[in-house]
Amino acid sequence: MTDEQWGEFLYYRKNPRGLHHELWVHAAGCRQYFNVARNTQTYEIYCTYRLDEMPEFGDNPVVGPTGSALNKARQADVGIDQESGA
Amino acid sequence: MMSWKQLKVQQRNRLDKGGRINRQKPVVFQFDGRRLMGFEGDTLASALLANGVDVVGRSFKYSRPRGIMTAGVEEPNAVLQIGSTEATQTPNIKATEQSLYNGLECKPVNGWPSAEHDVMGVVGKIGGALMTPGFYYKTFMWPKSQWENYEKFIRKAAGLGRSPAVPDVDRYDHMHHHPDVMVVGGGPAGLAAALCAARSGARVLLADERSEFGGSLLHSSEHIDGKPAMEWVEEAVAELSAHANVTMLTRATVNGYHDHNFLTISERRTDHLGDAVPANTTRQRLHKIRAASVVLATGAHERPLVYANNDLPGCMVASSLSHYIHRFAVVPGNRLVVMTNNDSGYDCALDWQAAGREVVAIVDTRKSPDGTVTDLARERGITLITGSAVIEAKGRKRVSGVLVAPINATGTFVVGESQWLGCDTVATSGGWSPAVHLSCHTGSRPVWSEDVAGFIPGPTTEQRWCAGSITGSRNLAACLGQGGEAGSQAAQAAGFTLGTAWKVPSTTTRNTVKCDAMPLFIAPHTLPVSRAPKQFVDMQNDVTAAGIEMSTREGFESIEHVKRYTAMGFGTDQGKTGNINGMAIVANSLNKSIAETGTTVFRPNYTPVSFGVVAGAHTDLLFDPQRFTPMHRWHLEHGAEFENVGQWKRPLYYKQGDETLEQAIAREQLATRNGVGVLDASTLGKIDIQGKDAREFLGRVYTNAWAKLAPGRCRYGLMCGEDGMVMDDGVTSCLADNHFLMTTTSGGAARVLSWLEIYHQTEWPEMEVFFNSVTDHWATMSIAGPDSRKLLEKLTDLDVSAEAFGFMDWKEAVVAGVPARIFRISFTGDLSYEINVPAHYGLQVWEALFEAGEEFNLTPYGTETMHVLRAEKGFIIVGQDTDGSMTPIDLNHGWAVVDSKPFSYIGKRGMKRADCLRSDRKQLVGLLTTDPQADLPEGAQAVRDPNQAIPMTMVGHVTSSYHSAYLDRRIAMAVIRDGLQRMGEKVYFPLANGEVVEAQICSTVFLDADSQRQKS
Repeated sequence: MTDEQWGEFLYYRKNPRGLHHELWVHAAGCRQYFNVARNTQTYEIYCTYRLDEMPEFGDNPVVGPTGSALNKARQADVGIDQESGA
Repeated sequence: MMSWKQLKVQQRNRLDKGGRINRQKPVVFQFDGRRLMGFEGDTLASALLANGVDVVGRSFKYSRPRGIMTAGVEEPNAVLQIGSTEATQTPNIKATEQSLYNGLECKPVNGWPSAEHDVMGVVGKIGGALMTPGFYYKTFMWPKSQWENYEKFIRKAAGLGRSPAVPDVDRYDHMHHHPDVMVVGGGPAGLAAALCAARSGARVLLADERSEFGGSLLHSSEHIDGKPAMEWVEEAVAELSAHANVTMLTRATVNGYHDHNFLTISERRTDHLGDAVPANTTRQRLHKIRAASVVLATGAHERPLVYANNDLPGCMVASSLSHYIHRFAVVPGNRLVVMTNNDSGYDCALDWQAAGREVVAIVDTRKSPDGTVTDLARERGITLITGSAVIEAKGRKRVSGVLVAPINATGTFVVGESQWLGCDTVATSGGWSPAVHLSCHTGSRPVWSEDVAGFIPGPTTEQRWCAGSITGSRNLAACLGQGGEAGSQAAQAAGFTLGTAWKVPSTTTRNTVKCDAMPLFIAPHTLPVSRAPKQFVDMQNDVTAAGIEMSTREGFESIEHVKRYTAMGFGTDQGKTGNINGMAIVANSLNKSIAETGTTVFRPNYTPVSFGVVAGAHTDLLFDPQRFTPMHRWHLEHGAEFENVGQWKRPLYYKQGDETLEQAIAREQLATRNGVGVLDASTLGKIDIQGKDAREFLGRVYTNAWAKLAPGRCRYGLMCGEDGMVMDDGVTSCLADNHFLMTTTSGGAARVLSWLEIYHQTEWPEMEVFFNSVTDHWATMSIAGPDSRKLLEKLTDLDVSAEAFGFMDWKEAVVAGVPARIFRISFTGDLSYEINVPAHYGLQVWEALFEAGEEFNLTPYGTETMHVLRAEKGFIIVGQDTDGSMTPIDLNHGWAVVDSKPFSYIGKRGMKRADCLRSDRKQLVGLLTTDPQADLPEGAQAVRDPNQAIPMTMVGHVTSSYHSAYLDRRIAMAVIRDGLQRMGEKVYFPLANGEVVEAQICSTVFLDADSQRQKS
């Protein structure tokens, strides 16, 4: 491994918009590390999984990034009251 | 002093009956030195209006007189300083939010000598024309060096209240909740949502900012289920109170809506009782909510319309009049002119007339309004002027009349002669702005709706629903329906199902047939905006329509830039009344639609919160934990001066009599080197490591070898990061073949433990090894000096001879009657034993040591002496002699790096980078000053030639520097470029005071180079 490759590994971090697989730690509790698939744009958390597991979400998560299916349905249901605008 | 009767008579705007006030409970208060009376149930604002107080403050920039404009949280003008004592001073309280209490004292936050008679007002009138947007940037930023002087003057003249000069005497606390459904807002939609969610069995938290639930129904003339709306509210509240699964908070503003349905509420628990809070109560409480589902029923704020001189006292928002009349039985004037672009403006005129006061006219900007309320107004004999607008108000400290003129269909021009209408109150309604603030907090951008003529909540990723006027709905039945629906769905999403479907109660309202609103934000004037009298958009920041237009002419096109340039939407009200009007003016002057120019978004907090409630109980001693060793009490009793090491309190030195620090540490050093001293080393990080792979694990996290460390032996270890830089160090002892005790630096213990965990859990999960922090389990006392063996002998039966108990051995023994681990390790370079006993025995053994040590003059020493003693022997302190850029090789600790280990170790690859292998890196060396008594400060920069031109080439710096009492001279350590190759060379330290200290590079070991002392 060259110094450049080593430096790349050590110091450079991806900062993607959207899906991101992250390592979290329960620092003030059990000290366990675990994985989180999270949307860096909406802060939606897709799933958490153990260190020895594969993420449930690959590059194209089913939900997000602009809101879950549940949310979209919800906004259609409880929409703006069109007939009684000011 | 005024009599009771006189005070009562003062309330000239109070109606004889009605209102949700308790007339049996009169309340006396003071405004700007005047004694006034109100009733229990009043807000400060309603009481001021009842007493006919017009001017409640002076404006920020122009010092214009200002009066109460609204009845709620959106109030821009009535911002007061409250408090009867220095300690209870509270700035920037909105009179519309503050409940009245006996003895309340308040005054305007600006205006000198008083708001009524203000000196700056004269300046404002003269200088007003010159005070354009960006005025401060343009005028006072030059010359830059003078800004600090300008600022003092500006702040004094323009300030918004003052903070107390003495500590807060009140108590605050925090509380956590985890409801299934959090309902924000206790108006019709919020109550309906809470009822449905509660009936489904969900745990519900309902919060409202006002003193009682009801929201808009508190001042509504509408009926629900055939009864006055407030009766329905009372029934709803009674039902909710009876549910064990419902928590209800009033005077509780939901101020922040953070990610993943985390909300913060500031509850004002005693602010309505007085500023002397009853003993043992909490003044304000911060509730932290993590909810499964959230229902936002935050309502809407009515927008005023913009016209010339619309900031005169007496100019108010239409619905606020209904609010004062219905809720407080206060009619804040005698002769009313209403201007409206929609149906809701009519309500206040009808209520005003019903209260027995004169409605001069309703000016409707629409050509031919045909809603039910318009007919009703005509029936009641109210003069209606349609297709017209109030273009200008006149008056000095209160409106005395208005100019009304016909306008064109789009409201852009005056199209006819204006007429004068005498009046003392102008109410305007420009439509309703949904309170989308909280919905914005989670990053959801609001969306412009033409139908609503306002921004409504945008899509969200949170599990949240919106109901009521936040969605733009202005219909009570629809609000109740949405609320019930949202509450049921929110509960369902949290796993609860409503048994019987919610039946929306029937409602009756004045306005059965509606007429469309006219999209109008600013009334035209006969003069262009730039020449017309000031048309205020944002009252609190004195932002005018002309100012906004000027900023777009100057090239500010982004709404965010206009906001910052003009200050529109800043301040304690955050533009709740003015923002939409301002955005409309920006859009218009840029020839764009409001949807195109967009809106600024909102951040927490919705309303100002006190520092006290944010801090909660975390003040003074509870601000940050302090850690004390088991021997702390003894230290206190023996003159210790303490220093903070992380959260630990460690004795820095023990002062005897009038000793200075220098004298004390010289005494401690000599006593230790010549006899025996003792250090409380309990703070040292201790990690218990067990498991069959513990030994291998140590080999991977330390740079040196651990394969052969036998039980009963100790070894110094050096820990590096992946980058090969030294991270921590300490002695690790082998307790058994699969059991080790690692010590770390006092400050690094937590970091090292999580370092071990992350490597174990993520890289080497197959290794069987467990880590436990045992720092607090042990009291550690380190005795050092030639007499330490004789001292230890007196306290234990253990054979402590050099032959039986060698250097870097550890043994279990009974010391002073207590089971102990004794480690023969040394951080002083002298014969030394580190005695560890269970923490609870710490003080007992420590005292036994002193009893036995009397004959040896056993001397306690602190961290300062410890630093000097370790430096004499060249021991490093990680974090002082290293700075995250030092490899073990740089530290001349190559002996602690073993590359031949079968498995790699952390830092191995990093240390091999080409840059780390350079021979001319900065390296740790010792320094002997040419003048043995020279003062060489830590941090001093080294140069090879002190006579070179400035800027000099710096080759390193001093990391540790002390006067050694034992050697009677200065010793120092420094990192010097290529230092290890330059032993004996001179380096120079030019100091800030012009002196140059000369020193010779030498070994870091100043004492006992062949370690005879520590091995003796």
